[in-house]
Amino acid sequence: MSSDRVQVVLGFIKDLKEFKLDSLSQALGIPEATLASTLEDMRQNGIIDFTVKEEEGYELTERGARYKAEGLPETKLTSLLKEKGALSIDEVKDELGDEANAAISWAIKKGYVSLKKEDGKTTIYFRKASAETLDDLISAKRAEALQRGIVRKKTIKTYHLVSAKAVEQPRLPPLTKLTHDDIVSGRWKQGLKPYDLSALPQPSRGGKKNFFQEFLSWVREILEDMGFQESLGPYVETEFWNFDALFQAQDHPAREMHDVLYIEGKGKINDEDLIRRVAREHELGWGYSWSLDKASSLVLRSQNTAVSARFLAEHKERPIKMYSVDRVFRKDEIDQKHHIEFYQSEGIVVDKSLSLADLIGFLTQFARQLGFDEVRFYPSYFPFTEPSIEGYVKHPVLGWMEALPGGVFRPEVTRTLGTDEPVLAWGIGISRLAMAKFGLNDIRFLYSPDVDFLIEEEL
Amino acid sequence: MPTNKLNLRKLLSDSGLSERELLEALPLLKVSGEVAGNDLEVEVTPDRPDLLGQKGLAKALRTYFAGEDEELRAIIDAVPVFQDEGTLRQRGYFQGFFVNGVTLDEDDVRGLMALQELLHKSFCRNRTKASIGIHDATGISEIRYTTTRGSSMRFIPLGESRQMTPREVLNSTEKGRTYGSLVKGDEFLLLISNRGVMSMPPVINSVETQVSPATKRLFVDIEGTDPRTVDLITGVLVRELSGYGSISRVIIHSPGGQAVVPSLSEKKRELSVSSASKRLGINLTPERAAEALHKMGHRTQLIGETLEVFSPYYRFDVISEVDLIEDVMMGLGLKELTPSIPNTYTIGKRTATTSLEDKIREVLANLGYVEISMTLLSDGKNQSLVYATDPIKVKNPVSSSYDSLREGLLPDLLQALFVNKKKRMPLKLFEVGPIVIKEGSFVIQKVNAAAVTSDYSVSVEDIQGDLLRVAKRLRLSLDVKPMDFPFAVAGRSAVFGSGWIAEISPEVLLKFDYDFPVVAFELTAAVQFRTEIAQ
Repeated sequence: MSSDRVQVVLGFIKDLKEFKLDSLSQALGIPEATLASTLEDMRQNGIIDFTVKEEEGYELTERGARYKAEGLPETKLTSLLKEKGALSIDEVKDELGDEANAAISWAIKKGYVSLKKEDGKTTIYFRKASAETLDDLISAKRAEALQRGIVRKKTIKTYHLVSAKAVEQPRLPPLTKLTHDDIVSGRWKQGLKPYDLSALPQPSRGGKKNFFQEFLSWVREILEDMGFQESLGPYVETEFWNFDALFQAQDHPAREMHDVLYIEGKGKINDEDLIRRVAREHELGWGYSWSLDKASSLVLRSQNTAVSARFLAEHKERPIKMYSVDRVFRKDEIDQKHHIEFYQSEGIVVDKSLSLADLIGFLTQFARQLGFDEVRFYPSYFPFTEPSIEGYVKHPVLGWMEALPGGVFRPEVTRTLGTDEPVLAWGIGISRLAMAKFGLNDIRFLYSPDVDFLIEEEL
Repeated sequence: MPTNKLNLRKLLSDSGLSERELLEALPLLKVSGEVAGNDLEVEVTPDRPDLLGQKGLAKALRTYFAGEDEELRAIIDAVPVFQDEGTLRQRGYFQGFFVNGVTLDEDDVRGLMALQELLHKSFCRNRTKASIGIHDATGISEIRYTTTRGSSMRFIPLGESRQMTPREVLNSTEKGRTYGSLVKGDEFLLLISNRGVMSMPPVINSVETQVSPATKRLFVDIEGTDPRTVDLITGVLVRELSGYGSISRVIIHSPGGQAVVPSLSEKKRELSVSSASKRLGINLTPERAAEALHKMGHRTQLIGETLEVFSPYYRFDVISEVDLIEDVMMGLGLKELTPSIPNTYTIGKRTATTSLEDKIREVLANLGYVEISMTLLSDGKNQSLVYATDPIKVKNPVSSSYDSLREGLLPDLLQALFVNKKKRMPLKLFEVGPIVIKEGSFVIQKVNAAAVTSDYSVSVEDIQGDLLRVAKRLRLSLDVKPMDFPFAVAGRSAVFGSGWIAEISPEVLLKFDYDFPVVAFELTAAVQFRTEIAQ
């Protein structure tokens, strides 16, 4: 099927309700047989659909076509006679050739002319002019036209278009989607198609901040309201700041390959005094030979206390209330409850004469701001704090959960970092609290990229 | 944290507590416990290995709730113990003691073996620092800690059925293969008695001295490379086993002379009651502080304002005054402290970096983007599908999905598009978060922001306006110049001050199994840290 031809045909018929195959054939200059098969193909390809009505009809023969072009022979004869008055048979034959006999006999039959035989010669006289055209003949005297071989019988096919692509509509269909051009051109006046608004689509998505990041931002706000100043530290950290400055011995199990994620290379520690103080505390306290090389190894920060240590070493102003809500990394199997990357909410308070009761006060207030009214504390253990405590909060569904670890920095730590005042410190696993707040039972949901989930999740 | 399974019924009867009292009492001693059938699963903090055993925990509970601890009385045993010079070339540190008049049932024997294994795994660091041998001492009149090179000393190792030489033990037993590397060269350590080989430290014991419910007298040896660990483990085991029988110390005859071990001496340390009051935030009298310390197993003597505190032999965690203060706190109970909020005036403030992140989140969410929040640890393979460079690798990754630090946000966003492929289009996602790259001898940590838009059909011109809005909000002036990137369609990407804008190449999209057009931009909002690395 030639697509050019299909386009031509479609272009011509698309606004028609019905058409006759022969008229179309004439109009397009495509033979009827070819056209009929094209239309059938178009139907089979779903471009159009139609029904065909067949009826008896007629078509001009070659003779008919000649008569149509030149006129009926009897008409020709009367025109000739009108001019000349009378003509002999021979003269008529000279003028009209093969058609002379037909002209004469039909002119006589129809009374246009009369015949007179004189002296053995037949002369034809004019009687009256003929008003009959070929079309008159075909429409009025079908039997004569058939008899004379002017027309012959034929089956006429009329196509009724049921549908056609971009054809169905009447000339000026109502508009679907209104455009600027429609309004300017006035085309809107032809009508606008109604929409079915009871059929609802999916809700719009829109933009949205991440629920977990919003939670972290809220935690930061709470701490800022409590007067805490944010500090951040690098993720790729030396063991020195992550462990040594916090009095964690170099053979402490938390420093082994199965607990910490290591990065190739060694970091630099530029404070010679600090290095000396760290070495002294470790060698006195733990009784081993401290290694700067080991301390220089690079790890992914495993506790935000590294940020507190850096902050204390750099900031000598008092009082200090510092927080850091940021990522930490541990080597762990990833499952519902464990991830290798999670967030800790770290905080320190440094002032003259602070006590463990003050730490409990801060942690209780922080928990209340987070919406946990019931809090209780038990002794605990962390390598760099003494005393150490763990605060439990009561969750409406999950019950009592471990949530608020903290303590007072050991003197070995504060001496190292150059502070005389007590330092209250805590490092809260804020990812776990976020899970409790959002009612999530799998820590991996905190990193979900599923937009449906992200749009629904609200604090 | 070390965990152990204890016999609940025996613990209740030894401590004199009901089950409910017990469960309420454990957290006061930093022990978390959970009942599982007939067992109590306990987890202790690393500073208190003396609470890991059945008897040690019971003793601490009894002391806490029923008054002062009984004093340990240990006689000196008549059986001589010899340490040969060769052992000093190997692991060197050696202690031992007898336990007399023990009565053990099957469960006790199992419990002791389990405790031994626990200590080996945790505090002994898989026997590298120390190892323990617990023996049936019946009929033993002399013990020698010695070395051997030859094959004359043969014994049946535990779990085997035939005599083996030390070399055979290393080669053909499981324990031998696991711990053989702790023995240097071809000189093997042996503990022998008048009855034959007792054990081959730190690898395996002999069946000869295997402990059973019939055992009435035990010999315990602790040997190792680290004197602190050997002392610690000895203290813990004396404490535990003194719950099964009476302890007798031994005289060790070594080339350096004679010594009576274990020392089992108390450690004296001073505690200022006023510093304890200040640190805890409670007004303490010396009597109250002393009482609290007694509940925790210490003895005290008041001298003026200062308490002289004598800490028991098994407490190795008491190294400064604050450790005693913690014990005062535990003896009192935290309920005794009144929470207070000090009047410390400071101004709350977040860093400029965090504020900047907040701003970007705000503007991109308002522009119709959904924020994702992914990990800094990322799949190095995904990174390399987009970038030509090498990301920083983790030396000991958990899995290949998290083996690298991401050097840009685009790979995670493409991965997120793939996850959401079946969702309603268009997809507009963004992330603001950290990336870490290596530049020369520096590790550089930045905060990046990136946004992607994907639809059936989308053009990079569609998101230029979004980028400009972000830039305007951040007061960045954009000097945009065409530039090709390996991940972008040629001629459809550009670079500006701190980032790029691009139509992502279908070749890259298909690697993420994603087949809708994607346009994106990414910019660096802040350079946070530059860490110099020594090569």
